[in-house]
Amino acid sequence: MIKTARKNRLTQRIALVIVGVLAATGVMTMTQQAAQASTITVPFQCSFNAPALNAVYDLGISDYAVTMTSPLVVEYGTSFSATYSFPAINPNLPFDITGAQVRAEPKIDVRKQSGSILFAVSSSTGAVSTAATISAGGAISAPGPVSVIVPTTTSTGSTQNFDIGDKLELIPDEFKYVFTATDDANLAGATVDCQPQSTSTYATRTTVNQTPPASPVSSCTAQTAGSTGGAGCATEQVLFASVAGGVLTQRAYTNTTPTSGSTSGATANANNSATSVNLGTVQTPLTTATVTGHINDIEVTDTRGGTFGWSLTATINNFTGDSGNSLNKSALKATPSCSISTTSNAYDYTQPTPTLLTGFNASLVAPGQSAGSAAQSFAGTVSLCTKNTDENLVSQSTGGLYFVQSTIELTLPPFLAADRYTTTLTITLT
Amino acid sequence: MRRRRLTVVLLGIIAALAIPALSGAAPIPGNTITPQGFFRFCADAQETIANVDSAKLTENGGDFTITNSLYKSLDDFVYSKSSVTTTTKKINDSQWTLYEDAQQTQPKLLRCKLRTGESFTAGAWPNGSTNNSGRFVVEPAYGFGSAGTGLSTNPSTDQQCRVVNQATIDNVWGSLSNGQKNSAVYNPTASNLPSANANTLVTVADTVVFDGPSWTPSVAAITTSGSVAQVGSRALVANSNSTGNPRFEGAHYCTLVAPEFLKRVILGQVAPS
Repeated sequence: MIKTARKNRLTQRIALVIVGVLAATGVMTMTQQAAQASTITVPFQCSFNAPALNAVYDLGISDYAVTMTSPLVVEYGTSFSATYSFPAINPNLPFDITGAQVRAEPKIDVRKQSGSILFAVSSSTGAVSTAATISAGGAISAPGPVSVIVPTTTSTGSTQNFDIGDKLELIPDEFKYVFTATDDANLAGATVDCQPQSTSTYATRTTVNQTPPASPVSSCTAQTAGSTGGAGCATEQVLFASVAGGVLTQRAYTNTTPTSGSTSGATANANNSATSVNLGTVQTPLTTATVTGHINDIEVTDTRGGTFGWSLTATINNFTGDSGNSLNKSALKATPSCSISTTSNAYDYTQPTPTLLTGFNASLVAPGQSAGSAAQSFAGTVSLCTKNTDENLVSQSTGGLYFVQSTIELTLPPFLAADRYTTTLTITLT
Repeated sequence: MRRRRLTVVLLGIIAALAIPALSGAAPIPGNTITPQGFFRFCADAQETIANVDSAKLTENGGDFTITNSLYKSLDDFVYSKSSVTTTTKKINDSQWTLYEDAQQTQPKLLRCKLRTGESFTAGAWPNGSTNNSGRFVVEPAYGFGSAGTGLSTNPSTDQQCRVVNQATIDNVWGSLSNGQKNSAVYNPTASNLPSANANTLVTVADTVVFDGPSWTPSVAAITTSGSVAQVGSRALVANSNSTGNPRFEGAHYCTLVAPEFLKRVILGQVAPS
């Protein structure tokens, strides 16, 4: 299953709100906030069902891009409306279906963040298409999107109760196109039924929120003269804490691992600063020679505090020699690695020299980083590392520290002109 | 004289009553490009092949149902198997259609995975028998056991697939106008026609194989022998408890000519193939 698009969360600035009460009072408001839309591609097994003919036409398993929407935030205690759209299905039927009227019936699974599916909700309230002929070989669809109402609370003790702060993940489940009418009685009750072959990836995520009281109560009377017991009284204080989004940065740190295949000569064979890479010295070879070294280590720090991906790439120009010789840039290849930083290499990006962060916890870094492939030629742009929009479940952001390294391999042709070859490695973070 | 006439009448009634029971006859759809023909072709062939007593079927007041699972993908069809569902008394068949064109508007040949008549009274598979996987898992039973008694009027001898092909020939020929018959390239009747001699469209005995890999390869819908077009079928027959692999047993598979292709051949619009 591949996520193809996800609207970045808008909340770079997050307000933490705590309401202190001595006893439960007040009525929650029912406002809903901005919606998010997400399209994910999921393998579905679809079939055309003709119950009046005791027949099922298995259309096989194919990937379909389905779209869901839901609010980013929902008020605690209320239900909310989500939508689920499915593309048209072409069963390649060898006959026309005249007088066809079709309605969509989506079904959505609901779970807490990364938990097991708790329940499913479906809808049969989708609009019915106007009567028309679906030609032989034609596709079947219905008006959409169709709204599905998702509850956030039910009866006490039900697994469908959610707490303030819970994140509800909505997962595409079965999607049906239901024929409400056709001219052929043999197709009475016909459906196109698509069953997902995986329900592990959510499409949208909705946070259960609580709006602070508009007019907090600052005083009250618990008892009057001569009385005791009772419910007491409550005052309210609304607490706020704000987190401001940070930056996405990269900083290079010297990698002093010696090269292999060369010696220390006029150029040394190890990097001596974060801005130079020394591949050493070789004698003009009789046959193709290879020198393997390392670019300097790079640490990417992302404190933007939202849901964002990034990409780290590298390019060079052709090598040029002090004496006017040249070496094509395709002679250099990179094999990068990319991992979440550890307590031994999690550096403070604000410091020019490696300065370990105190209290760094790698488990709070968002996953989803991946290194570029091995032996990438610098004939084009080399991918060192990419980070997708997977979030850390605790931080709820894509932030973290990531340590990127890469070996480089320079291939020297036989009898190469003696010279000091130089190029500039440009590393771009976007 | 009076007695003799009465005798003739009584025999006639007995014969008429005996037709369904003797033949298990089912109407083979005359096309596969209507909902009825497309979705029921193999299910109706099942009635003929296994000599099913039509009175036992739900549509005739009985309690057995023949369901048909059609597959768009040949690979999926190959994985599928005919089966039964004992609790609901269902015979589950599979169907796949080969088309002449990529747009799937010209059916040429159908493959049907059916049940043998003898399997209807067979019981559960031996314990530990291997089943199919994924969505192709079936109930581990050959048939309905004693509940299937009488479902086939002749369980020991299935009909050949050629019987279904002959019914298709009869249906298609019967649907032609006199003009079309007189200009037909092939003639299934015993009388010469202006454009085709008698008996130039015939069915031939099934080519019977005994395992899936022998049945799956491509097969011609119609071949020729001289001036005669021959409609044949590659059949697979594996009776219950016959191979040691129950999931392949109780199976009677047929390749069957599509009515639309047969019509085009008869009218000379396409060559037999």
